[in-house]
Amino acid sequence: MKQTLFYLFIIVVALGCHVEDGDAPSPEEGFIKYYGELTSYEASDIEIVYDETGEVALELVVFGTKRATNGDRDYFVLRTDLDGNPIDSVSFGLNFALDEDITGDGEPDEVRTDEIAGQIEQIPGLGFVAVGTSVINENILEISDYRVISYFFLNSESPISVLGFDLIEQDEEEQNLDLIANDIRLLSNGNLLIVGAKEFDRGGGVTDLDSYFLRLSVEADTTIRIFEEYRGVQGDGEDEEIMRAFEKPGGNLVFIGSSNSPSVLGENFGFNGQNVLFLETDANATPINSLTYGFEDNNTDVLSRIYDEQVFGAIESSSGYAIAGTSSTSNNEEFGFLMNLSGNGIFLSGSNHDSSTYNLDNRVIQNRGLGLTQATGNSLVLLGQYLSFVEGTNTPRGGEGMFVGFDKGANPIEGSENFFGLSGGNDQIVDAVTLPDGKIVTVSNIDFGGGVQLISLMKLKADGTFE
Amino acid sequence: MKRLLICLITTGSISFGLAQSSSLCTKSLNDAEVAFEQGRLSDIINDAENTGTFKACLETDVFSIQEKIRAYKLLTKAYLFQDNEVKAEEMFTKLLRVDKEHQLSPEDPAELYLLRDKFKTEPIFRIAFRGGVNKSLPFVIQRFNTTGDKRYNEQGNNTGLGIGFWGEALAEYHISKGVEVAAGFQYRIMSYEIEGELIDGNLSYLASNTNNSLRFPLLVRYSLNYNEKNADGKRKGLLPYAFLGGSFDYVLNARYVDAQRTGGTAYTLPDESISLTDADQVQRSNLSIMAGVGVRLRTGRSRVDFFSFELRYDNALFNYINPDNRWENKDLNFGIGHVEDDLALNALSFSVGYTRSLYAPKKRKQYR
Repeated sequence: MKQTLFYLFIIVVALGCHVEDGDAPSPEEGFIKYYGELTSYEASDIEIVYDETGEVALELVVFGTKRATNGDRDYFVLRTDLDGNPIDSVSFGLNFALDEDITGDGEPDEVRTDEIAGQIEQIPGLGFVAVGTSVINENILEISDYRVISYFFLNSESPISVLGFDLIEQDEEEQNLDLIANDIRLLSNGNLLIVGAKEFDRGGGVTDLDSYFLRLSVEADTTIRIFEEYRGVQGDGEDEEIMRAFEKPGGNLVFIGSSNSPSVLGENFGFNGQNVLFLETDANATPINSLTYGFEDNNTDVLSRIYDEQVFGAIESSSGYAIAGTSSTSNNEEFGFLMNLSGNGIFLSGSNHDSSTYNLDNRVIQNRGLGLTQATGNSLVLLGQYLSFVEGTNTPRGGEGMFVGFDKGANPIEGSENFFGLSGGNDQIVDAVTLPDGKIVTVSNIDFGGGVQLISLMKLKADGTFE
Repeated sequence: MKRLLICLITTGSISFGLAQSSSLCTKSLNDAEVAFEQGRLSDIINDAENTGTFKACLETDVFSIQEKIRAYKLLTKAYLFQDNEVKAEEMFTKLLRVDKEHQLSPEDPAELYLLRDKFKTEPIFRIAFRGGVNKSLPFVIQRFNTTGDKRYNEQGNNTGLGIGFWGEALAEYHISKGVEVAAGFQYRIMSYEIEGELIDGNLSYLASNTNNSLRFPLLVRYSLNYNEKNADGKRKGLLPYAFLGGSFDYVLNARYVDAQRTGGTAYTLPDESISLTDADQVQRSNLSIMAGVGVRLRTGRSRVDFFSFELRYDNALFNYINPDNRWENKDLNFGIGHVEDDLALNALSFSVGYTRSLYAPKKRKQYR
């Protein structure tokens, strides 16, 4: 009997087996991962972190904000490995101690800020530099709302931490006017280039935004402003804002944003509105070439009404620059767009995303273009958000993360459109990177309701599906 | 009242008549056995074949079962010693119909042993019915997490035990020396529960998966004591056994009976998203290997049927989840926050069963 039991034991142990499917995808080949706590997070940028040669991808870094326990929105930086497993994270909020007691509680008062994340950039040998906009909004202290640029440095070792930060605000006499940062770029000579917008008071209650460029030399504890420039059309609502900056091989700078300057192609029957701005300057921000583009009326019922383009993202592409944004119509409909410009700013191609794939009645679904990435084969992926729609199964869906592949002619690639998110949440994909293996990692803001919004990374194939 | 009185009298008369007949038959059997001992075989056969009491008792079914066994055995021996093999075989066949697998005693003559060996006394096959409970043991082949932890069937962490039920019908055939093969079909209801955390401790979900399968097991069993006898010459009544086998499994239906997320705005999986089979998210076909131990208890008058108690382990060989459609259910992936792992759906089960032996007593082919 003992012998029988022994053999049976051997058999049962041997039974603990299964047949591996060699073709089955592994968890690293496609994933959905969430990050955060039971509060609201909002990502704005994802970048690949490379080794010192700049060729080997090591990890991912995500830049955004989180709602802190005191109610403020603070910067949030997350690092993960290439499989989306978290390495470390840090949050960072600005607090300013005042010398005076305005509230009369016997203690010196404090000014806290809400941060709006811009972009993060790797600094080889140091770590990272991130830029954003801090909103000073302390009504209790009777300080009127205004925005200032904030940027900070982080180390590359784990755990990640903030090494130092700086604020840039308007001159004292214009202190209550906004200064906004959307992008930061490490230039080839080690300088930092910060771009965004600067608010001007034109008198008579008229204010507008102009493009803003700031070049800094940061060495040890010394920061030197190489130049601080702005440009734009003056007038009520005549806003111009730079969203992304690039350095060309010869040192010239390229800025891409939105401007109220008329389109050089005369689209939209002469309507002005907001257009895509391409601005090339020399290394000292002296303009060389400035071009603006909108989308032409293509005589469809929907697109003929488009006249405003707002840029949210731009990347260097195989043909020059690829730009993502959102066109809005006179009756407040929104449609994402993708535009390709040459390295000299010549319009190559562009289209609005007017898909009806997910609507039963073939009606075009409104959507927003928020970011993009270059995929394999010179194709591009437009990322953003579908606004509410009713899916084929009659399931009403709120905002959903949008993923659409485009060929290099800015034509949608059939079968490479997908949406992601909770049916009831206001979800969006804001940015993505393409890994060396051709897979795309998107960063999303996923809304779980009740004030809970998490950052999510998804690893997808180039056609927007999971492996 | 009159009618009741008539009924009582009638019933009493019948009982008295039967008792009288039974008593007469018992006496005639006893007399026949005495006659056998005295070598008066012709008297016995004459009584059984002609109009004697012995024949009447056999034909009117008045003998008790034990008396029938004694009677047929006596007649078999009588015919054997009369060299009437045809009639001896006829009586022995009748004996086997009354007493399956009739066990000879050491006192029985060698001729009877020789005759027995010409007959197929073992069952042609057995039919076994089992029913029991199972506990699912999901084995994660590859984990597809959404960052936080994920647990299966961990009672105490909100998940349940993963208890299901099953029933089985098997046809069993004894090959030799306690080794049997069995095949049949099984209907199994299995469930497992998952508790997952999107972010540790704050945003979590609970999902209960239930699946119904039709299974076709094939197994080989070895029983101890299959032909063993006790000191008193009776066959052992307790048969421990172990078995090894395999099964083709077909999932009829798999669904989430309850899937909800807490944290943020609570979310419950809507009706149109609960079926995994509709969305082709599970592999419909699978193969399992199984092993188990149990014990069978002889039961019934002839002690050839069994009650059994069994512990069984089922090990699925292939992935339960269809990896091609892992991501097809957006309500599950995002609303609940659950991504299916690659998992083998194993199970441990306990069952009780009843086995009925079926016989067709006849001479072995080589003796026909």
